[in-house]
Amino acid sequence: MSSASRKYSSLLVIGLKNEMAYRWDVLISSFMWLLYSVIGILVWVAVYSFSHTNSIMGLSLPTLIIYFIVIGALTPMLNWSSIVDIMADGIKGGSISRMLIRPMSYFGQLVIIDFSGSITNILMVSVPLLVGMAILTNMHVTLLLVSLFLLYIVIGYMIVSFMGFIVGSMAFYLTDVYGIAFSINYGIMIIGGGIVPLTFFPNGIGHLLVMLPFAFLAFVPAATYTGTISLATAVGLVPVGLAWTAILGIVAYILWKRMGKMINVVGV
Amino acid sequence: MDYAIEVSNLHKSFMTYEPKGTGVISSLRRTRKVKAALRGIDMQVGKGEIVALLGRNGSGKSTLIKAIAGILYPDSGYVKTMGMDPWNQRKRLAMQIGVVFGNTHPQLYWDLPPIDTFDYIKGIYGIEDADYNARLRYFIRLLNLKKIYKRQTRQLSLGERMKCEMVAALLHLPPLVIMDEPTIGVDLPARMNIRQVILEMQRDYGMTFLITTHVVDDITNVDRVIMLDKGKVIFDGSQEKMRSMLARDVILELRFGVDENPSRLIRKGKIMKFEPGYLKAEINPSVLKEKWLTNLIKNKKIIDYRISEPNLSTVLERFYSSTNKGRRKRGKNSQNKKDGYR
Repeated sequence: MSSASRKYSSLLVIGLKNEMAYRWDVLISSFMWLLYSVIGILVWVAVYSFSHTNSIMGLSLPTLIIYFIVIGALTPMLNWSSIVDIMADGIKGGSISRMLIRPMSYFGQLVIIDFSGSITNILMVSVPLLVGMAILTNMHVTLLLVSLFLLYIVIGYMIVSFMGFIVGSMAFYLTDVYGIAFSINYGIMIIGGGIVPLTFFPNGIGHLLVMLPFAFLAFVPAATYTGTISLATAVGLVPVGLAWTAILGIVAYILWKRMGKMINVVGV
Repeated sequence: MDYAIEVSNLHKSFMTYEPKGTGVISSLRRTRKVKAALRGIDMQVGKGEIVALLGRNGSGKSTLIKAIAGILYPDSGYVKTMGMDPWNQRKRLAMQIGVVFGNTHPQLYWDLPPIDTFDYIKGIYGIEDADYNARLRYFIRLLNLKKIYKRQTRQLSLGERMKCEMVAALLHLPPLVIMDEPTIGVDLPARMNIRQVILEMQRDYGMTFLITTHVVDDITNVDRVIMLDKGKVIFDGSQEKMRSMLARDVILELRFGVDENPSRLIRKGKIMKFEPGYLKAEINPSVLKEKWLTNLIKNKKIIDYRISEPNLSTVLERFYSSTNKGRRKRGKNSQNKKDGYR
């Protein structure tokens, strides 16, 4: 094992142990993520029932239910909350010192800590939802589809981590970013297709939103898995996702190089 | 000399905000102020030295060690830690240093037993199994951790946690250890344990220690003392030098007949304790040569006497009160200038 992978795997192991210190809390928070799916589904069942229609903008209710189950499976993986929280707390309270005395990159530590917190949710929520749904709906799962879906999860995870880092970096200027992060998170959920599929937006806006990085956190992987967009379209979006990953990565790097110098750990 | 730490003309300022006025509105109206935490620090720490960094609260000690450890980026000046630029070579430097941040930013995971943190340290610093087990056994024995290192950290006392923090900082045997108030709030036996570990690590591995502290006992075994005040080094030298510079007076203890009243001595010294038949006072050594005192001793009016140097806490207390007076004086002068006085 290389030196870097040994360091980060040690951090992952202790992060997991820390996460599992209170088992009931882990179990209950996993159910919270399930509720996210259930609420989305119930809202759309109500919408379809009251509109007395089988299809809205070409999407049937069963397709939307599957879409929101996939969104429910993706959300525990593709959210930035812990990266922003760790950064904001660290900058405000000074615990960033503890991370900077380690022989690892600050961003790398944030990602691993965040990921170790997500693993239990992925195993208890995401995997059962995705596998169960594929079995129950008799989905035609191909190797290409699974590979593409996994690739989008990786791209989405990198995008959300860089975005979390960029939002968290605002704490260098503003000290407390909880309110801003909360607002941006909800905005992203809407324009990323986490609350309404992007196909429901007017054509021009919908097409534009699909090309933005936020779509890779919800709509693109969910629509690929459920077949809401064609495989060809899904494959065509891979370079877009990779380009956004690179752009956000560069922005995050530049921000750290400039703002890291503003660390102000005084009196703590 | 080979230096572990070299600091030259180091400056660091921070932006702070102060509320204007009172009441709820004051939180909306703020004044931005720049606070200079370090104002041209010059210092060196040689390899293998134990150096204490002293100074009152807000003197810049913690800021300085954070700049040395690569956590804070200085505004200007030069810092080399273990021959490296602490900011630009932070990850490489981290392999060479161990840091204890007192009770403010513990390394130990609060919800896990210390042994889990030690295992994590083993992984990130690439400590071989055999070395790790041997070092762990050594620290467990030395710091008496056998009953605590497998208990959840949050269930440990402050002293127990600090001893485990020490282990977390020393397990990879770093050549340089930086400690920010490692004994704050720690009881005497634990403090003695911590001091013993520092001395053994220096002796056995040639480790360098830079320790900030407010606990006077912590500096009894150090090689050198550096004192900061208002972001500047105001003293750099041995304890003896510090004592001789700051402690010009000696402590005289007298036992005399209960009917005697050494009123002249009371007038000439700073009384520390006075009760019938006993007096303890700080006096200028020249007083000891005065004839009236030698006569008292000769005439056996004084039953017993003892002359000693003031202890370190007295020296530091005097130092802090003298810098306070200096501050008040400077403040008054600047006010006088503002008022147009010369």
